[in-house]
Amino acid sequence: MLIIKKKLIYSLLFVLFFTAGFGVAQYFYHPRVKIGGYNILCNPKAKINPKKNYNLSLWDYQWPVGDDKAGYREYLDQAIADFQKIYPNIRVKVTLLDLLEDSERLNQTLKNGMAPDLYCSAFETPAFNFRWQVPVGPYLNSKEKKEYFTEFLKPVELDGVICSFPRWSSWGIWIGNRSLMEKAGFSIAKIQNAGWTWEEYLSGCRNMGSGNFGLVGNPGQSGFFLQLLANSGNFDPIKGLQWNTPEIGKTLNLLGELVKGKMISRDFDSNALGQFLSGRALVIAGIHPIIDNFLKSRLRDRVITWDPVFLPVPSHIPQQRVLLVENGVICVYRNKKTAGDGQITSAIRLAQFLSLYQEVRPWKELRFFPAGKIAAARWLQELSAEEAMFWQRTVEKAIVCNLEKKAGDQEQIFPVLREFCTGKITKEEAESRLSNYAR
Amino acid sequence: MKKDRQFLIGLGLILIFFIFWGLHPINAGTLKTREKITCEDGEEFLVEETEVLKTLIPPAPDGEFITVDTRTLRLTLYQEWKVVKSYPVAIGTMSTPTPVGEWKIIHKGGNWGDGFGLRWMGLNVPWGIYGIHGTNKPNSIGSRASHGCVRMFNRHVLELYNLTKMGTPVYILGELPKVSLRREITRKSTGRDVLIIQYSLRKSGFDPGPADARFGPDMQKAVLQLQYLYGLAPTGKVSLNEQYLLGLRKI
Repeated sequence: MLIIKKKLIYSLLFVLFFTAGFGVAQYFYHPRVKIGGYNILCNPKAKINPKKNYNLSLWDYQWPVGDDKAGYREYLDQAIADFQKIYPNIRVKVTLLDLLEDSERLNQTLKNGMAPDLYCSAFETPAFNFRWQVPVGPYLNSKEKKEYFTEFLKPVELDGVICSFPRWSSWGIWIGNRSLMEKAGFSIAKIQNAGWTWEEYLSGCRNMGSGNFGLVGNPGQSGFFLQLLANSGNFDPIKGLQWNTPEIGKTLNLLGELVKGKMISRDFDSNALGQFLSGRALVIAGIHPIIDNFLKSRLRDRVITWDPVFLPVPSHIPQQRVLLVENGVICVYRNKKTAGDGQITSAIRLAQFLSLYQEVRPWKELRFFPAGKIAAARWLQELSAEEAMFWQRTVEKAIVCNLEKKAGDQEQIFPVLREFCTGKITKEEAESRLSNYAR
Repeated sequence: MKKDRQFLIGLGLILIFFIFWGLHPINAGTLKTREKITCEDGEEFLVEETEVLKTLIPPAPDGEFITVDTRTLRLTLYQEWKVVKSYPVAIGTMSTPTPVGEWKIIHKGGNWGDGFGLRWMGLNVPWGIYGIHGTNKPNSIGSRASHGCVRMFNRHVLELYNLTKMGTPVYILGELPKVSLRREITRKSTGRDVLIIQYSLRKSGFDPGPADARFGPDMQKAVLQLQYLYGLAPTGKVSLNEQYLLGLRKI
């Protein structure tokens, strides 16, 4: 009896130790990457099984491109078809979201554990989801990472790990009226190459002559106020855009000079385009670069007779040029139906493929700068030499910073700026209200 | 005590009345049945059925719909994109044009008296009483002769009346009116300028819902999408910026 009991105990102990050892081995074998204090599971060594079919779900946005404005779906289908030439066993189901369907829908699916395998964002980099998101950096070797501009990898990194694929970025740049600028004594080539200071900008505005305006545009959430704030000096590339009272004060001083000199009109925002098209505004600011297509079409139709030119945002410190960008990134998620590490790897490869896809027609039309170097080179080819030089120089010289939009920004910032720029409130009051806004 | 109770009962009845009145959907089709109306053509009809609009029609219909082509002067009834019937019609003159747009049948009724005009199918055009009806001037069919209504031979309107239901979409195709736009157009506005903006939004790749000259939630969403894409302030209103972008305003 004693022998049987001992044998039983030894057997049980053996099974117990074996199970524990197996579990520990599994735990340590399954690779992890540490982000934000969490260990995130990922298995970059997992391969795509060519004999197995994978079904991926992809969410993207319905961008109005093409002659009939319905060309984006065709573009995406072609991209997926090209991907399937390499991976014929990977099927992709595409859902195109309306432009205003913000990340709330994604957040809901993340809560339910049913996020799509791939999510292509619009004008934002979604916050990293520690439970379901797969960081993509471990799946890339150094050669693959070099295919992207380093400047566009930084906004998608967390603790040094690339969390999503950068795809394109919409830049916070201004557009100027070449004729009016040259009359005011500006050298477009010099500004595009080396930037311009606030002093230079104000001085040129004063040279314009009465009846003209130094600035029209949108001061709001993704508009010129934050762009100027980022360029008010003391920008910390690590901390990003800071909402500090001294910087707010400096930025309001600049705008105050324009208000004092009657260089901002009452309808600088609601009739920004009208004033710019009429040739009376030096720059239009705080609007997405897609406006360039509209302006060029007006030029072709001879509605305007002057060239629109891209300009960097004026900077308080000449050596520091900050470029605020709104990104389109591709995030990869696991979900409750994810069929193993092979599926995650297939999603990673699809996301990588789409982020570097060299057919750039939609991005040209939308004026989104591609994050991949080869795609960007193709994008630049179609521009004039001067324009191409501007985009290239900007990405080389500027400090790229992701514009983080916060709920409430538009409602809090925009009305204050509107009242200040139209002279309804003083600089002190505007500064107080903006500083009190807990951004 | 008795007076207080009576007062409270009266107050309660008034409250109930207002609640029911408020629940009644507010839109174009609020004619009572068996009500006489006079259309733009000056013809009088007795409305027998009316529909209060609850949903908007999509621009790509499945099922039954009617088109009126103001260029060929033909009305065509479709069933799932297949032609069921096609009729010659008379439409409005140059000075009193038939309203181009995407409408819906919201009244159905008939004529009384000597039977001229015979049947009436009213449309939800916000700036007037327009519809499809018969006529006692059959020689006008095939010409621009009416005050905006769509005239048919009586035998045709009878046939069409029996084939169509309330709520059937009616797409009047042709040239859009030339109107000057208000400087700012907001939700709940109606009018020809709203119609033009709806078509322009659609042409620019934003779906405003049916082009029915009403600034509803779908149109506001389309405006917000346009503003979002261009980085304009998200007001949901069509101001000068949006009008320039849509090519509706020149310098």
